[in-house]
Amino acid sequence: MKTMMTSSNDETDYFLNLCDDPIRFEPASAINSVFYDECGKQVFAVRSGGATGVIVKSPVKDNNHTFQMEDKGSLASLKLSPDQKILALQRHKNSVEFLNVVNNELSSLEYSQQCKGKHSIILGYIWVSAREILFITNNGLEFYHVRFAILSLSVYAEKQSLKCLKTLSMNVAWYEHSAITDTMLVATGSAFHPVLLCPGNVVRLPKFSLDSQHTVTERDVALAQIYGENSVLFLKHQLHGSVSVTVEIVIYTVTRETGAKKSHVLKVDQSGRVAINVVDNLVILHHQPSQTSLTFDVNLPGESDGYVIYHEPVTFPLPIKPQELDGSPCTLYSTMWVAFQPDVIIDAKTGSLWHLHLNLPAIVQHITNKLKLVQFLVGRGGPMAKSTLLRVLYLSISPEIGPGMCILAKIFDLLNGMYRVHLDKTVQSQMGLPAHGGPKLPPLPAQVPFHMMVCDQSDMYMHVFLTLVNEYKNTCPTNIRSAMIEYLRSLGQFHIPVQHFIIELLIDNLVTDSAFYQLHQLLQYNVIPDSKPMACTLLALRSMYEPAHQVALDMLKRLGTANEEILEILLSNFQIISAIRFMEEAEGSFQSSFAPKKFLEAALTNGNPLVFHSVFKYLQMRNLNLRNSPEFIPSEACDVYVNKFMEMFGADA
Amino acid sequence: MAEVTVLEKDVNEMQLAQDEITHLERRWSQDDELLHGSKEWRDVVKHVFILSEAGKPIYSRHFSEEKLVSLFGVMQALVSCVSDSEDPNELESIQAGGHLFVFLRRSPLILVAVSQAGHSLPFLCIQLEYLYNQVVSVLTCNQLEGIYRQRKNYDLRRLLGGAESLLNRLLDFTDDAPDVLLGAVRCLKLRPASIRDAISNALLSHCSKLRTLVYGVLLAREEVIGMVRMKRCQLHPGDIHLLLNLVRSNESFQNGESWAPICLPHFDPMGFLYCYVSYLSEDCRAILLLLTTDRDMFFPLSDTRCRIVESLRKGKYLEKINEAMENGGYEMKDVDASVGGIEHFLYKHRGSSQYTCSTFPQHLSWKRIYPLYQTLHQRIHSPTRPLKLLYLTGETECILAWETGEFEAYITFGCLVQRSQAIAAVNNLLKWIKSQESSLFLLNLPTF
Amino acid sequence: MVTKASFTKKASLVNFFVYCTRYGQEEGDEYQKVLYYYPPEASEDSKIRTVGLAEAVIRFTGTFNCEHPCEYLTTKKTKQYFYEPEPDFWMAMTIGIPVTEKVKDGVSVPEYCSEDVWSNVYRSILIQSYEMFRFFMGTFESVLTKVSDDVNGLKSRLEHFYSKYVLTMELEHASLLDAIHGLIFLPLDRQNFLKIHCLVNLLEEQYPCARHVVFLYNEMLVWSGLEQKDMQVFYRYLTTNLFPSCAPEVMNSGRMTPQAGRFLLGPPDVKEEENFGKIPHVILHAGPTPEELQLVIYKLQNACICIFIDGTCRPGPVCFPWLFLWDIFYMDNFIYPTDTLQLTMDFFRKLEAFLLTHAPPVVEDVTTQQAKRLHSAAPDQHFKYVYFNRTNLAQKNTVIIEPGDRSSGGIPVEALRLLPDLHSDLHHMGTRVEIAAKMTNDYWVVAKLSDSREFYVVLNQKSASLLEITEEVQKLCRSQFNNIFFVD
Repeated sequence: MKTMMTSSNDETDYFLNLCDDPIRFEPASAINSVFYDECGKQVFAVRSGGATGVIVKSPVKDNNHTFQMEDKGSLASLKLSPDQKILALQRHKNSVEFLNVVNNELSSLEYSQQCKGKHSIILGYIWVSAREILFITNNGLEFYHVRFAILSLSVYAEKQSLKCLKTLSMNVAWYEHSAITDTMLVATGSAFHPVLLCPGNVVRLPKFSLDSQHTVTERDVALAQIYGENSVLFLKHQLHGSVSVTVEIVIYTVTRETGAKKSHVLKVDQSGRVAINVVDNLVILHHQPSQTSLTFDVNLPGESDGYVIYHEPVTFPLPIKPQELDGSPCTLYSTMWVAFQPDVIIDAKTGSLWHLHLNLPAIVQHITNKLKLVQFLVGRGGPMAKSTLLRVLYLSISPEIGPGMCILAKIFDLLNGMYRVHLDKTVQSQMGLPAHGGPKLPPLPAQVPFHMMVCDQSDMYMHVFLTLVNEYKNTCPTNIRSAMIEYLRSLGQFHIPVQHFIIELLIDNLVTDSAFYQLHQLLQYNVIPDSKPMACTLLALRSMYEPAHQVALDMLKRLGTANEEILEILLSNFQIISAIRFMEEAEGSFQSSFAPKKFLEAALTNGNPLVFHSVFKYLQMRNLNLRNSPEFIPSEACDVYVNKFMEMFGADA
Repeated sequence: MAEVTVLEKDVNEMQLAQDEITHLERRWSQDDELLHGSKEWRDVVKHVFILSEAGKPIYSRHFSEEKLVSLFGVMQALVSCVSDSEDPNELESIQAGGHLFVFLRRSPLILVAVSQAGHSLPFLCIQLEYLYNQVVSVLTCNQLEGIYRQRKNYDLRRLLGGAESLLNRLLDFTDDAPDVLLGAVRCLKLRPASIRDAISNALLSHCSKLRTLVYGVLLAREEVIGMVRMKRCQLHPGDIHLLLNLVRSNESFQNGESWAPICLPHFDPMGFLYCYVSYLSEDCRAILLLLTTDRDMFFPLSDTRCRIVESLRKGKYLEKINEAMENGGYEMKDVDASVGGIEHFLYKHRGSSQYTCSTFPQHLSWKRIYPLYQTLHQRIHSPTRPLKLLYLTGETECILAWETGEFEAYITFGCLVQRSQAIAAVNNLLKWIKSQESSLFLLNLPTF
Repeated sequence: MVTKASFTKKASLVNFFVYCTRYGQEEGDEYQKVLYYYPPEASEDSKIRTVGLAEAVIRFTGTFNCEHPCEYLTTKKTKQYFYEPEPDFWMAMTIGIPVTEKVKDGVSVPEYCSEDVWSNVYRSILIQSYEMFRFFMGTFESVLTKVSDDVNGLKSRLEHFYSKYVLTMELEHASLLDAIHGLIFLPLDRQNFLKIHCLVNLLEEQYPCARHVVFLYNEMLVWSGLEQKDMQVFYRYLTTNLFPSCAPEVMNSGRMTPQAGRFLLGPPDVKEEENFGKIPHVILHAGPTPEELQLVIYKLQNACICIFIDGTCRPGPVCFPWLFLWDIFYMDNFIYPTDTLQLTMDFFRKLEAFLLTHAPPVVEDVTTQQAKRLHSAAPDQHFKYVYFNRTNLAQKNTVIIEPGDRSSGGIPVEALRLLPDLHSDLHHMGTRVEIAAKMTNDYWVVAKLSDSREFYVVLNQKSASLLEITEEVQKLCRSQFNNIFFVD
């Protein structure tokens, strides 16, 4: 509520807006009738029965047409075949006429098809594919194949005809159809039949009926695809006194295997005229009287009775963003509006077709619960989605406004759960085997949306942690550090190996805070994974924190592949004796050839003549064992040291 | 005289002080402050002091006692303050950083060492014990105790007149010579062993003729060449060291024979023996000591010497002795190829309290190694938890310390020696020593 | 001969005192410089005398070298340790050397085993006694300022603290562990550690007044928000005083269910309105400036969560951690300046609620993991070792099984007694030294110093050769410490 009062006129209040370039057409009038074909997304403006032209408008440029045809009486509907070659239209209640489109002209030859049943009435027809059409009559479904040939000569007209492929008899009250899911919902009295339309076939799924006993009209039904699922939405009304109140939206999920299953219930409670759109997998309910819209996300957790999940709106009701039309503000939520699935709104009065868009940054303002917000955002597609999510994460960790570690932990677990699944998928696709043989994972915190937004470690690093560290350089790093630790924990929980740059950042943070003892504890418990680069980082810390040196050596030792490095470090540290002892211990694990010069040089600079003496003697012994002579070979270039030894200890030493 | 009275005053004050030691600070005099501030003072590696139980200065190794009157006072006070309490106790040592203070009370004397040489506590105790014995060998316990019985504040320096050099020499010697640590003497290496027997016989044959003769000893510079003794009169290494010290610090033998009373504490702390000392002859610089209980034996002993020389000369033994003395010690490389890796060793033959060692190599520092030997020695000989063997792997050397019923050995290796190699070398060394035993040690001491 | 060390008289505390050279300069009022003296029954005279002797000794040694202070003095029967924690303030502790009766030709004579009063061990005990005071009371100087330079104020605090502390110094059980003074960390996998770390972070976030948090499990350290030096002292307090003292309570406290937790320091029961229990003040010194905080400890199953809170208890007698070892009494002049934050019972209720919601799952995970670990733990080996890493104070040992419990785990006591000797030898001989020693009872003891790491192992392998032992130790290092690098 608060946000409402304070910033009601704020841009960010409008999280829904109509597209800026609506498709315009001549408004409906006495002489101009307008039709919309949901399948082809085409608006047909038919002036005086088509005699003065049929103008077809579509978001797809190639699907814009202008035709002429003779006026043979009033039209019930027009639909172009998907390949735009045949125009089907209905003038009589028991037949459908066809006109071929030849070079963007309607051929004068018209052919028609009557429905089978003598007394049947055609409720409508659907292009299932370029040459297949389905008639829906009050007595059932008739599935036809359209034979097609370019004909110029009228004599062959009767040859032009359709072949019936299949009929399904059932008494049909009304039907709804979605081109996206190729699904049809057929209402037979109180029961409903989902019907799947696929090229060459029409499949009727088991019927189902709503638990409540109220009559449902096609206006109360919408078919849509939500998170990849083939869904049927029912508006459920109740009479409160005289006013009908839309109580809830009931969503059934349809699959070929299981038929329709009740899966979600969206709590509405709005009285008066409402309309549904589905935008970016969100169910949008427009409420005409209040001129506001409600948003629902079935991906968010809700209270569940084990079968059905009950959802609250994501936000309180908000209006669509005001829009200009022809230089003057256009009336939103006008009574002339008709909403088509998924995201189309048509205003026949002004003759405009809009697509409804989501304004993510705006919504962010209205979901105060950060966890809910993140759960909401990971479901979103579209260009803004990820950047918005990362921005939100950034804010969630910022010292002043962060929601705290508790929430943060849940957020990270959510993201990494999806990250894990993503990794598994990629790995599986790469080598066809599960990514982690390790212990079984904890159950994913939320159901994973089909298109799954993944925030990997580099995203977190670049857009969240690094930015934060830079911003709060000299204020309070502890909070950010806690967040990083929390993030590491979460990664670990999903068995995701942490990447070097994240650790680097953590270490920097600890170092700038000179929390070395804490750093040491992290190393102690292997929170910081072993690697040569890490060892180098630690070695570099030595000047500030002596023990780092020891830890680095341990790390190199554990790696087992870094004996050369260890040797170098010892020598550079003038621990020549240790170096040699180590070399003997790790016998034969050295690729690089042995250079006595290195040792003698180090021993000499080490300053203790005794060390130099021992090393020299040792090397002589070594030579003796190698080639039966204490002498160094010229290539080893040790004369300098031999002489040095002579002058220090005398020839006979 | 004035000075003396001052001292008297000091001393009286000190007796009073025993109960009010808290006043002590107030007694530090100006010149003390100056002295103690000075670098010379602080750089001294090892101070050694002797004082009377009354706090009277008797000996100071490095600075003249006069300068240290109050310091002596404090030392005395500390010792007496600790000992004087309802249950009698003794001050033993104080540790302060690298400084180790060791106190030895040998009534009527108090001996104190202040060392930053890294020497072990037991070792410093032995050293002070030696110092005490040296004093006794000059005065005998009888005399020492007698004097103080008569006069508590007696200034012993009057009696110890010429003994300063003895004490200094003894300290220099005991600072470095392993003899002291091992409680053993070293014999001149003689090959073949038959030479040693011949010499002993020569000594024996002539010494046995004199009833009052207790010991006959033939010494090289630091080593024993031969010894004969009266039955039931063991010659303790400690006493031999005193004899060596006597020889060392006495230039008078350069010009012929000399005659001196000496008390050998292990033989009899109460009385003197009389010691005839002389180089064997002009052409042999070995030193002959003949000790007797009879104060008027100079001339007979002189004769004896001549006879011994004659018989030795007959057997061409003088040359042999000279030869051996020329060669002196032996280095590791002289020992045997099979002991490669060993830099230096000490080996004590426990049965005879004699030891042998290789000459210490230049490139190593005795100042460093000897304290290490001492530490290991201390561990090996711990009264409550003795050890059989100790192997130290250090940064610049490895040292093995090993004690068995028959021997005790300290062996130094380079720091990069492999243990297997070290062990092999040690075994070979032991073999070698066994093979050389009779020429390295004086195993049968003839008696008469 | 070897004496099987059955002491007729064990190492014992002869005296323990604190004095300040600033006071009692004038002749006759020396007694003023004595700030604390144990035993209390000692006569003024003997006090003045002992302190005087100490001063004299220090002064005397001072004349020979200016750098190093005097550390200890040995007599036939005693060993006296000195420590100057702050300028002009000196502490001294005198230990009676253990005695064994030896029978020499018929008559039994006492033999003093001064060797068994290791300088390194007991001096560190003396130093710890200061650090512990400083942890709960602050530096001597700071106490003086607190009581506006009234030396009696300092005296009473010293009296209050040490009269109890002195009794807790387990002198006869002193061992190598007192010399190294390490922390025992809980072996734990990465993930569980992170969980605990996160829990701690959460706690610190929710309770900004919680300046530092320390998390222990089974008396072993998992996470420390304190600086090392402070942690060292604090850990010693926990293991030697707090845990032993309240272990029995856990047993017979009726209201305890395994799930529930309770405050070890803090209100015994948050339902009672008035009883805040003991909430000691502690002062941390490792940081740039001393921090005065209040210590609250909550125990949940095997876990122990120590919270250092910024603020002070409501006015009234300030309680000290020692008090529940002995009967409670208090002094009037113990009023601390009350800070901004007041610890109310409500605060503790909230705190407990918080802990009971967030901690249990974490703790249970650790518990299950520990159970597994113990299950898979190797059977008792033929060696026992002590490991210490100075860089993080980590200490690991199989010699002393339980922290606090000083049982020798089947090793001859001589071997244990040898360890401190070797410890001091190692440190005198350099930074990378190894000593292998064969005892007369044929046990082998190997001690190793490798830069900041120390490693002591006692092997029971009669008639093993030096080479075999070398092998054995290498094996041991490979098996127990293959994750670290011993610089030889």
